[in-house]
Amino acid sequence: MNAITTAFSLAYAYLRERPLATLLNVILLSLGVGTIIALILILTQAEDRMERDVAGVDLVIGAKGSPLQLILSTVFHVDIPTGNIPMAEAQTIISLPQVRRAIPLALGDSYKTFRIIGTEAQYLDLYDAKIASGKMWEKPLEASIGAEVAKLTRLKIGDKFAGAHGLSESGEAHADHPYQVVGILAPTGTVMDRLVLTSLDSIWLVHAHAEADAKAENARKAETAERTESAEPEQDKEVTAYLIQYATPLAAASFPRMVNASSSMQAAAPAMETARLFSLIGVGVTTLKVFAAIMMLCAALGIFIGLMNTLNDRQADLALLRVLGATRGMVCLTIVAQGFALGLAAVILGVFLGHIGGEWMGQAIAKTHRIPLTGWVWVGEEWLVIGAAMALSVLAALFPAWRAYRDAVPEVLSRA
Amino acid sequence: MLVSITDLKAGYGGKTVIAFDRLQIARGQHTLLLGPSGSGKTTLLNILAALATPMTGEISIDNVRVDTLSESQRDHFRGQKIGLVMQRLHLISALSVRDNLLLAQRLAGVQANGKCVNAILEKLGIANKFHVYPHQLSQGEAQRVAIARAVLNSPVMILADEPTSALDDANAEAAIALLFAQAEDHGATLVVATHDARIKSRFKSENVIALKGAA
Ligand SMILES: Nc1ncnc2c1ncn2[C@@H]1O[C@H](COP(=O)(O)OP(=O)(O)OP(=O)(O)O)[C@@H](O)[C@H]1O
Ligand SMILES: [Mg+2]
Repeated sequence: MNAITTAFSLAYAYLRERPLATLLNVILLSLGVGTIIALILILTQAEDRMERDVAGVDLVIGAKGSPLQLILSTVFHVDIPTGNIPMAEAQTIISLPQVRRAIPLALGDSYKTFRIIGTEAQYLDLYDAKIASGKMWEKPLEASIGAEVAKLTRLKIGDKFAGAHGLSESGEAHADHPYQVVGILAPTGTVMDRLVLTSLDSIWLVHAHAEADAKAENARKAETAERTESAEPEQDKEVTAYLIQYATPLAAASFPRMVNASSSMQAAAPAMETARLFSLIGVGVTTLKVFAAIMMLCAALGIFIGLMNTLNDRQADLALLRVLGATRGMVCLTIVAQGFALGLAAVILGVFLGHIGGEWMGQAIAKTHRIPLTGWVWVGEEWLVIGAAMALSVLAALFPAWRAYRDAVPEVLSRA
Repeated sequence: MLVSITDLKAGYGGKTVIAFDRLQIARGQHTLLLGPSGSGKTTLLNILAALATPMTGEISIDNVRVDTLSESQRDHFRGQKIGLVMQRLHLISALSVRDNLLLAQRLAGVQANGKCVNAILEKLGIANKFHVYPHQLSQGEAQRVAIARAVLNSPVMILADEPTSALDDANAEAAIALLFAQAEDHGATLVVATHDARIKSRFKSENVIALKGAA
């Protein structure tokens, strides 16, 4: 124990003697560590988050287009939908025995970038969402809002708000059909926290009027007297998508193919599309990770070269340690301790930087996608990075330590 | 006897540099190893310091058979029993004067004792250099610190290799006086190796061992 503290206090003195080289090595290594940790933090949370958001949805049926876009827009609520599908056609498919549960979603409007979703009560069951205060929506134009929506928009029960057409803030407001908040959901840690939920009827009502108004305008301009009814007939009703849970896992083999082949709609599996998404992101992430790993290797090389250089300068110094009663092992230890101390300093700084970087990235993502990611979490994988950085630093010191170990004191002294 | 050597042969790569049938140094018998360059003074000092092992011979120092010890045992022995002063190489450059002395205590396995260190530096008139780094000291000052360090752990023997050859007359005289005083103070026996005849008069003539080299 005494030998170790002595070795470390010497290592500290030696590192302090060359502050610039020490600083450079620590910064290089900590940047590598920090980059990898920031990536790990964000990716782990994103994956975790997506897994929870998929919430057992086996399949999504929606309009034809990019399957990834369909999943992003209807499961994660980040992209714009591929279009709408006629309810009547979907009905024939969702009534098949392979389907245990089908939840309709109607998208199209938003309030302050929070999406307004027309759906059924069972959508809440997907995420085990509960009403925290107020009640579920019942009548058209009643809405229950997610916890985060409530927090950020400060909407309270009884408040009225107008949805905006489209999913961005710039949409034209449906001012003549304001919604009323009747309930606020408890936080679920899923996408549900960021949604405004209402009945399908509400969506149809708002849009039927909007369309009718638009048609009326056109009609007036064209001077054609044909007037359409203000509400569409039942069989013409449209939704954006159905979230499907299979009755049996076997359905996955043939059901999606059947939908894609035999209908004007498309079926996309969230699990497959998210895997595809991560393999797309993966290329960039891997590049960054490799870059960070190279940075760490360079830092280790820097430690190695630095120690080798000082070895020549300090050969006499190290011999003097032996003269004072230090064993070969002790001399060795002072050099390994330098590698260890550099690694430790870099790891502490790197973990700190990584979490700050993670928080920074998280806030940037949260701003654009409203996905709450943070740097203030601890992920098990970080220990791996820390271990690797420490191992590299100590490894870099081993050869110089062995060189110092080998030196014969009398020869060094006669040269000094 | 403090040092008792028999049948000693020492050298490098099979070539004998020094050979003694018998060499004894009693406690308190301050000894001078005198000889020209290359005569093997340093070679003998290294053996007395247990830094090197002879080709043949039995060496006992302070009743310890040094030649039978393992290398790390010799390191510990040296740290506790022997104080070394060298011609030029004095201090660890990365450590302050005070830390150099504290380090010597720790490496010898002695509890680091700041008071003891301060007292010795004060006695040697370098108390104002406590927190100074070696490169800020003159050669003479650095050597005084090295002498302070050599006596710090109360060794049985102080070995000095050319302690005066880098110094002018006045400083050489001061250094050798200090070595004697410190050796007496700490009850240690002084062994000095030098080709510097200036200090010969300091030693009793029967305690001067003349080396001529084996070749
Ligand atoms: N490491 C070594 N390897 C081989 N030969 C050595 C080594 N060190 C010393 N020698 C040789 O051993 C002989 C004695 O050397 P040593 O250093 O003991 O002499 P010295 O009396 O201390 O000389 P100086 O007064 O110059 O210090 C010399 O001939 C020298 O060349
Ligand atoms: Mg010599």
